[in-house]
Amino acid sequence: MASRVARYRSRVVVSAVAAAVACLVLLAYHVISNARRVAFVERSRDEAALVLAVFSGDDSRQAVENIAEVGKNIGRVEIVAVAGRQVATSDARLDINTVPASVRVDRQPHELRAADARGGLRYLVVGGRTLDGAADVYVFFSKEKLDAGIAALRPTLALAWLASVLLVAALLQWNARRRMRRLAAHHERERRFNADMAHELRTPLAAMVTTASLIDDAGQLPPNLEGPLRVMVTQTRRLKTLVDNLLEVARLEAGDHDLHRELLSPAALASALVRAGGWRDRIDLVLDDSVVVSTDRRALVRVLINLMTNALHHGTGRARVRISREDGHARIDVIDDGPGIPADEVRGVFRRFSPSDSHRSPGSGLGLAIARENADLLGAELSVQTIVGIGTRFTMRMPAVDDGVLTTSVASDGRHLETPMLPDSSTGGRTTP
Amino acid sequence: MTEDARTAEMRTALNGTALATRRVLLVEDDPALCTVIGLTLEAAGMEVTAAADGETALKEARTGRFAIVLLDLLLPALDGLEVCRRIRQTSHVPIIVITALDSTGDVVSGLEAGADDYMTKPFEGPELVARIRALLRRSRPQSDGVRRIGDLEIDAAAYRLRKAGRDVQLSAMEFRLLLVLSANVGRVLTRDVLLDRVWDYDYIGDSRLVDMAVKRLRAKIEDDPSNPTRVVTVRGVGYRFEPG
Repeated sequence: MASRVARYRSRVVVSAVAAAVACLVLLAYHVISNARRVAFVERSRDEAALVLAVFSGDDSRQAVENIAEVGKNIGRVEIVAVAGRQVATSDARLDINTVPASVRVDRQPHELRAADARGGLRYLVVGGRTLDGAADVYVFFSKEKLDAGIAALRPTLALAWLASVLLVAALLQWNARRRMRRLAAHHERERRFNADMAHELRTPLAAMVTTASLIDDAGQLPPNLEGPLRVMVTQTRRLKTLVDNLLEVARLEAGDHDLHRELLSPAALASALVRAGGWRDRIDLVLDDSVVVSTDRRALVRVLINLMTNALHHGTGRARVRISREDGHARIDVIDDGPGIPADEVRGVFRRFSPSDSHRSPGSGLGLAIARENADLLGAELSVQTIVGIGTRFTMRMPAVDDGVLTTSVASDGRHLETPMLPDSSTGGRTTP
Repeated sequence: MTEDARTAEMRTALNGTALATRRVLLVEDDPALCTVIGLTLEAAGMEVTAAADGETALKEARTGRFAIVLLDLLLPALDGLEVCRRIRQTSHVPIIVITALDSTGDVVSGLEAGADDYMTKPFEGPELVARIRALLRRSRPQSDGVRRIGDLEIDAAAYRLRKAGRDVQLSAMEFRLLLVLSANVGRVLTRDVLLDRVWDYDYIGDSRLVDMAVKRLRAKIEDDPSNPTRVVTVRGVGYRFEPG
């Protein structure tokens, strides 16, 4: 669950960044393509706007008046030249002759571009023929004026850019948060549901499992009920294993790990598990007692129990556990002589409810996944080798602690302990003085 | 509870000589589970008194006639942890909590409340019987002498601990832990050894049982429980009882 939240979060971040970048590119393109037009519109309403009139007709005086009339609507008008001749102007700077001869003027209906010899934009001339007149009227800007206009525009654009980025980011953030909150609430509901379900499921199951033990101990059963009762007992135990495993998976998912490392002897642990499981005549133990590891007991027990159960299910009913030391590592092999795992199923063998596990055994299909996830928690390597027709070997490797730590400084085996208070092997209050 | 009654109960819990050895208080609100656990324990020769809620459980526990208490943590009205705490205030009796939630938090809070062991539902009948027997297993001192270590005076025969001349109340399992630790002054005991010697677990037990019991013991016998000088931790290995 936690990992799902993390995956979701990274997806949200990636799409947010991608969206922001796309927005920026579009925005920049738009800004640049508009810059000139904006500059013109702004400048043509400016007092500094110039009107360059170029006449081709005869009626110069009338044309000048027409131009002056048109010019009123677009700003201050100064007649710079009439039919190629320079006329009086209020501003000495504005001399038609300052337009270099090399400038070529392309005539377009409403826009003339003046390019300098190198093809760079030098002048922008916008306009067209006036109404009822023989004159073409153009508004004329120099490159310097354009640049000045764009420069004035730049801080505004930058601010707008920043504002839109922040806006996009804020929107995405808000959206992501809303989703995360929903997800977290969902997660919490799911966790509580699991806990409640665990309780609701486990109490009746505890009653059933205890009943199964009572039936086991009952001795002679009525002949007509013996068959059904045996089925019930077997299936109850199967259900118990399944529920235990599902809850273990839920616990792994919830991240309820809480590892406590302590010094352990895998050999002692393996033989205790074999005794507790009643597998003494089904599992051969080949153990190096001197191997010591520093690890979490519960997680190591989960790994070993699941590997042993798996080996007994899939083998011919016998299995072998070997514990040895191998270049500074503790090596635990759990070996069965079963049919082996087909090559195309080996890779998925540690997956939950992997087909190779569920169809090969009546187990829950979770055992090997639980073994792998607990091994991962411990930082141990868990691998599988299999030969079809010969058998399968699961191998776990984890760093060993320097030997001698337990055997010399610590009374680990209890053999040399002072235990004055300890009981003889009495049970249930039957006393042996 | 009078001092004599406490000692008698402690003897009951540790010594197994009284009839009450086989008397179990079962606190469980689920009738079906209650019935089958009752049948299982009776088949194992124990005598079961059932209580379906916390108040009844406390009333029964106060009579002091039980050798062990089995306590479900999820009870109607009065919470199981609270029941555990209140029983512990007045009694040494070994307590096994039964929990449907084996998350770390639940187990640890049960042990902190004074429980000596826990079982997770669903458990097998024989497993439960074995746990009860292990906690009830008779311990017999080899000598009746009083052991003095520093200002501690451990009277194994009377099940009494005095610290600087004052009586200290320990639960039965805490006393058992103290006996094992103090019999091996200066030696490191691993959690396995303690699990085996005190709880009778064969290597597979939960080492948190040891850690939590040591924590409770320290609270009672250390001058400063946060800086223990009697039961010291040997990191990654176990615990050592220091002389004087």
